[in-house]
Amino acid sequence: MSLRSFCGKRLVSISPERSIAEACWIMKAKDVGCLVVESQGKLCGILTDRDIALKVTGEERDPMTTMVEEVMTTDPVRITVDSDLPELVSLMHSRHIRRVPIVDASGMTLGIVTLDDLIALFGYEMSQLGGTISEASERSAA
Amino acid sequence: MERYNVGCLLTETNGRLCGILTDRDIALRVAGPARDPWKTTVAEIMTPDPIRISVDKDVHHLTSLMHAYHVRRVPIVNGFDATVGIVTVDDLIAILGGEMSDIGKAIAEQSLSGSA
Repeated sequence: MSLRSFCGKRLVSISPERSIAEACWIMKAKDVGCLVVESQGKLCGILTDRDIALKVTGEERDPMTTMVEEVMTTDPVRITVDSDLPELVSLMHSRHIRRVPIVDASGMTLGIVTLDDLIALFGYEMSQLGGTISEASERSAA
Repeated sequence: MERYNVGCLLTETNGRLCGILTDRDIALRVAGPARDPWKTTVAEIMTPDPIRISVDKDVHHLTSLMHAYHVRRVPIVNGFDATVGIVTVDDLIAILGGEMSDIGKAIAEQSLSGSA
Protein backbone atom coordinates (compact mmCIF):
# COMPACT_ATOMS: atom_id res chain seq x y z
CA MET A 1 0.00 0.00 0.00
CA SER A 2 1.34 3.39 -1.05
CA LEU A 3 1.46 6.43 1.22
CA ARG A 4 -0.18 8.27 -1.68
CA SER A 5 -3.57 7.08 -0.40
CA PHE A 6 -3.09 9.30 2.70
CA CYS A 7 -2.36 12.40 0.60
CA GLY A 8 -4.76 15.15 -0.30
CA LYS A 9 -7.42 14.82 2.36
CA ARG A 10 -7.43 16.74 5.63
CA LEU A 11 -4.19 18.61 5.01
CA VAL A 12 -4.67 22.01 6.61
CA SER A 13 -1.72 24.37 6.36
CA ILE A 14 -0.75 27.82 7.60
CA SER A 15 2.13 30.21 7.05
CA PRO A 16 4.70 30.68 9.87
CA GLU A 17 4.05 34.46 9.99
CA ARG A 18 0.38 34.08 10.90
CA SER A 19 -0.82 34.69 14.46
CA ILE A 20 -1.78 31.98 16.95
CA ALA A 21 -5.28 33.48 17.11
CA GLU A 22 -5.65 32.79 13.38
CA ALA A 23 -4.26 29.27 13.84
CA CYS A 24 -6.91 28.61 16.52
CA TRP A 25 -9.62 29.86 14.23
CA ILE A 26 -8.48 27.54 11.42
CA MET A 27 -8.19 24.52 13.78
CA LYS A 28 -11.72 25.13 14.99
CA ALA A 29 -13.23 25.79 11.56
CA LYS A 30 -11.56 22.76 9.96
CA ASP A 31 -11.97 20.57 13.05
CA VAL A 32 -8.32 19.49 13.17
CA GLY A 33 -5.84 19.33 16.05
CA CYS A 34 -2.77 19.98 13.97
CA LEU A 35 -1.68 22.42 11.25
CA VAL A 36 1.15 21.87 8.82
CA VAL A 37 3.30 25.00 8.55
CA GLU A 38 4.57 25.80 5.07
CA SER A 39 6.86 28.49 3.83
CA GLN A 40 7.12 28.99 0.05
CA GLY A 41 5.38 25.68 -0.50
CA LYS A 42 7.82 23.75 1.67
CA LEU A 43 7.19 22.07 5.00
CA CYS A 44 8.88 24.01 7.81
CA GLY A 45 6.90 23.12 10.94
CA ILE A 46 3.96 21.51 12.63
CA LEU A 47 1.61 23.15 15.16
CA THR A 48 -0.77 21.27 17.46
CA ASP A 49 -3.57 22.39 19.76
CA ARG A 50 -1.40 21.13 22.64
CA ASP A 51 1.45 23.48 21.59
CA ILE A 52 -1.01 26.36 21.84
CA ALA A 53 -2.40 25.28 25.23
CA LEU A 54 1.06 24.82 26.80
CA LYS A 55 3.25 27.40 25.04
CA VAL A 56 0.78 30.25 24.53
CA THR A 57 -1.95 30.08 27.19
CA GLY A 58 0.32 28.26 29.66
CA GLU A 59 3.07 30.86 29.30
CA GLU A 60 0.62 33.78 29.23
CA ARG A 61 1.57 34.91 25.74
CA ASP A 62 -0.83 37.00 23.70
CA PRO A 63 -2.34 34.85 20.90
CA MET A 64 -2.92 37.98 18.78
CA THR A 65 0.77 38.92 18.70
CA THR A 66 2.43 35.50 19.04
CA MET A 67 3.37 34.08 15.65
CA VAL A 68 2.97 30.45 14.56
CA GLU A 69 6.76 30.15 14.03
CA GLU A 70 7.42 31.00 17.70
CA VAL A 71 5.37 28.06 18.95
CA MET A 72 5.53 25.38 16.24
CA THR A 73 7.84 22.37 16.22
CA THR A 74 10.46 23.41 13.67
CA ASP A 75 11.67 21.04 10.97
CA PRO A 76 9.44 18.11 11.97
CA VAL A 77 10.05 14.44 11.19
CA ARG A 78 8.60 13.70 7.73
CA ILE A 79 8.36 10.81 5.32
CA THR A 80 8.72 10.78 1.55
CA VAL A 81 5.71 9.63 -0.44
CA ASP A 82 7.56 6.67 -2.00
CA SER A 83 8.25 5.09 1.44
CA ASP A 84 6.18 2.09 2.49
CA LEU A 85 3.91 1.37 5.46
CA PRO A 86 6.48 -0.56 7.58
CA GLU A 87 8.91 2.38 7.22
CA LEU A 88 6.18 4.74 8.43
CA VAL A 89 5.30 2.54 11.41
CA SER A 90 8.93 2.20 12.49
CA LEU A 91 9.44 5.97 12.12
CA MET A 92 6.44 6.66 14.39
CA HIS A 93 7.74 4.10 16.86
CA SER A 94 11.38 5.24 16.98
CA ARG A 95 10.58 8.98 17.12
CA HIS A 96 7.54 8.67 19.39
CA ILE A 97 5.28 10.68 17.10
CA ARG A 98 1.74 10.08 15.98
CA ARG A 99 1.50 12.50 13.06
CA VAL A 100 3.86 12.46 10.09
CA PRO A 101 3.71 14.89 7.16
CA ILE A 102 4.19 13.24 3.75
CA VAL A 103 6.47 15.11 1.35
CA ASP A 104 7.68 14.68 -2.22
CA ALA A 105 11.34 14.65 -3.27
CA SER A 106 11.48 18.47 -3.32
CA GLY A 107 10.13 18.81 0.25
CA MET A 108 6.62 19.87 -0.79
CA THR A 109 3.91 18.69 1.60
CA LEU A 110 1.47 16.27 0.00
CA GLY A 111 -0.44 15.12 3.06
CA ILE A 112 -0.27 14.04 6.66
CA VAL A 113 -0.75 10.58 8.10
CA THR A 114 -1.67 9.92 11.70
CA LEU A 115 -1.59 6.95 14.05
CA ASP A 116 -5.39 7.07 14.00
CA ASP A 117 -5.38 6.62 10.19
CA LEU A 118 -3.23 3.50 10.59
CA ILE A 119 -5.36 2.09 13.43
CA ALA A 120 -8.50 2.63 11.32
CA LEU A 121 -6.83 0.90 8.36
CA PHE A 122 -5.61 -2.07 10.40
CA GLY A 123 -8.98 -2.32 12.14
CA TYR A 124 -10.67 -2.55 8.74
CA GLU A 125 -8.18 -5.15 7.48
CA MET A 126 -8.61 -7.20 10.68
CA SER A 127 -12.39 -7.18 10.31
CA GLN A 128 -12.00 -8.35 6.66
CA LEU A 129 -9.69 -11.16 7.81
CA GLY A 130 -12.13 -12.08 10.58
CA GLY A 131 -14.94 -12.25 7.98
CA THR A 132 -12.82 -14.48 5.73
CA ILE A 133 -12.14 -16.90 8.57
CA SER A 134 -15.78 -17.17 9.71
CA GLU A 135 -16.97 -17.70 6.10
CA ALA A 136 -14.34 -20.40 5.56
CA SER A 137 -15.31 -22.26 8.74
CA GLU A 138 -19.03 -22.01 7.85
CA ARG A 139 -18.32 -23.51 4.43
CA SER A 140 -16.32 -26.40 5.84
CA ALA A 141 -19.07 -27.08 8.41
CA ALA A 142 -21.75 -27.18 5.65
CA MET B 1 -0.85 19.18 32.08
CA GLU B 2 2.75 19.96 31.23
CA ARG B 3 4.16 18.66 34.52
CA TYR B 4 2.29 15.36 34.39
CA ASN B 5 2.56 15.07 30.60
CA VAL B 6 -1.17 14.59 30.12
CA GLY B 7 -3.59 16.09 27.61
CA CYS B 8 -6.63 15.89 29.80
CA LEU B 9 -7.68 16.71 33.37
CA LEU B 10 -10.72 15.43 35.23
CA THR B 11 -12.70 17.97 37.20
CA GLU B 12 -14.22 16.94 40.49
CA THR B 13 -16.40 18.75 42.95
CA ASN B 14 -17.32 17.31 46.38
CA GLY B 15 -15.65 14.06 45.36
CA ARG B 16 -17.81 13.62 42.26
CA LEU B 17 -16.87 13.82 38.61
CA CYS B 18 -18.25 17.04 37.11
CA GLY B 19 -16.17 17.75 34.01
CA ILE B 20 -13.29 17.02 31.69
CA LEU B 21 -10.76 19.53 30.36
CA THR B 22 -8.43 18.88 27.42
CA ASP B 23 -5.47 20.76 25.96
CA ARG B 24 -7.65 21.36 22.89
CA ASP B 25 -10.31 23.08 25.06
CA ILE B 26 -7.60 25.47 26.29
CA ALA B 27 -6.32 26.15 22.77
CA LEU B 28 -9.73 26.78 21.23
CA ARG B 29 -11.69 28.27 24.16
CA VAL B 30 -8.97 30.36 25.85
CA ALA B 31 -6.19 31.12 23.33
CA GLY B 32 -8.60 31.30 20.33
CA PRO B 33 -10.86 34.03 21.74
CA ALA B 34 -7.82 35.64 23.49
CA ARG B 35 -9.18 35.15 27.02
CA ASP B 36 -6.99 35.77 30.04
CA PRO B 37 -5.96 32.37 31.50
CA TRP B 38 -5.69 33.93 34.97
CA LYS B 39 -9.29 35.14 34.94
CA THR B 40 -10.82 32.19 33.10
CA THR B 41 -11.89 29.31 35.34
CA VAL B 42 -11.78 25.62 34.49
CA ALA B 43 -15.58 25.48 34.93
CA GLU B 44 -16.05 28.02 32.12
CA ILE B 45 -14.29 25.99 29.45
CA MET B 46 -14.48 22.33 30.52
CA THR B 47 -16.97 19.87 29.06
CA PRO B 48 -19.47 19.54 31.93
CA ASP B 49 -21.04 16.24 32.92
CA PRO B 50 -18.94 14.03 30.61
CA ILE B 51 -19.74 10.49 29.47
CA ARG B 52 -18.47 8.10 32.15
CA ILE B 53 -18.43 4.38 32.77
CA SER B 54 -18.98 2.41 35.96
CA VAL B 55 -15.98 0.41 37.14
CA ASP B 56 -17.92 -2.90 37.04
CA LYS B 57 -18.69 -2.68 33.29
CA ASP B 58 -16.73 -4.76 30.78
CA VAL B 59 -14.48 -3.73 27.88
CA HIS B 60 -17.14 -4.48 25.29
CA HIS B 61 -19.47 -2.01 26.98
CA LEU B 62 -16.64 0.54 27.00
CA THR B 63 -15.90 0.24 23.27
CA SER B 64 -19.57 0.59 22.34
CA LEU B 65 -19.79 3.67 24.55
CA MET B 66 -16.73 5.21 22.84
CA HIS B 67 -18.21 4.40 19.45
CA ALA B 68 -21.72 5.68 20.20
CA TYR B 69 -20.60 8.97 21.76
CA HIS B 70 -17.49 9.57 19.63
CA VAL B 71 -15.27 9.97 22.69
CA ARG B 72 -11.74 8.66 23.12
CA ARG B 73 -11.37 9.20 26.85
CA VAL B 74 -13.81 7.85 29.41
CA PRO B 75 -13.58 8.52 33.15
CA ILE B 76 -14.23 5.45 35.29
CA VAL B 77 -16.45 6.01 38.35
CA ASN B 78 -17.62 3.96 41.32
CA GLY B 79 -21.14 3.66 42.70
CA PHE B 80 -20.86 7.09 44.34
CA ASP B 81 -19.85 8.76 41.04
CA ALA B 82 -16.35 9.34 42.42
CA THR B 83 -13.63 9.09 39.79
CA VAL B 84 -11.44 6.02 40.14
CA GLY B 85 -9.59 6.28 36.82
CA ILE B 86 -9.70 7.14 33.13
CA VAL B 87 -9.40 4.88 30.12
CA THR B 88 -8.50 6.03 26.61
CA VAL B 89 -8.64 4.61 23.09
CA ASP B 90 -4.84 4.49 23.23
CA ASP B 91 -4.99 2.21 26.31
CA LEU B 92 -7.29 -0.17 24.45
CA ILE B 93 -5.15 -0.14 21.29
CA ALA B 94 -2.04 -0.91 23.37
CA ILE B 95 -3.77 -3.91 25.00
CA LEU B 96 -5.24 -5.20 21.73
CA GLY B 97 -1.87 -4.70 20.01
CA GLY B 98 -0.20 -6.83 22.69
CA GLU B 99 -2.87 -9.55 22.32
CA MET B 100 -2.55 -9.52 18.50
CA SER B 101 1.19 -9.83 18.72
CA ASP B 102 0.84 -12.86 21.06
CA ILE B 103 -1.67 -14.49 18.68
CA GLY B 104 0.66 -13.78 15.74
CA LYS B 105 3.58 -15.43 17.58
CA ALA B 106 1.45 -18.45 18.51
CA ILE B 107 0.44 -18.91 14.85
CA ALA B 108 4.02 -18.49 13.62
CA GLU B 109 5.27 -21.10 16.11
CA GLN B 110 2.50 -23.54 15.15
CA SER B 111 3.30 -23.26 11.45
CA LEU B 112 7.03 -23.73 12.21
CA SER B 113 6.40 -26.89 14.24
CA GLY B 114 3.91 -28.07 11.58
CA SER B 115 6.46 -27.76 8.78
CA ALA B 116 9.20 -29.48 10.79
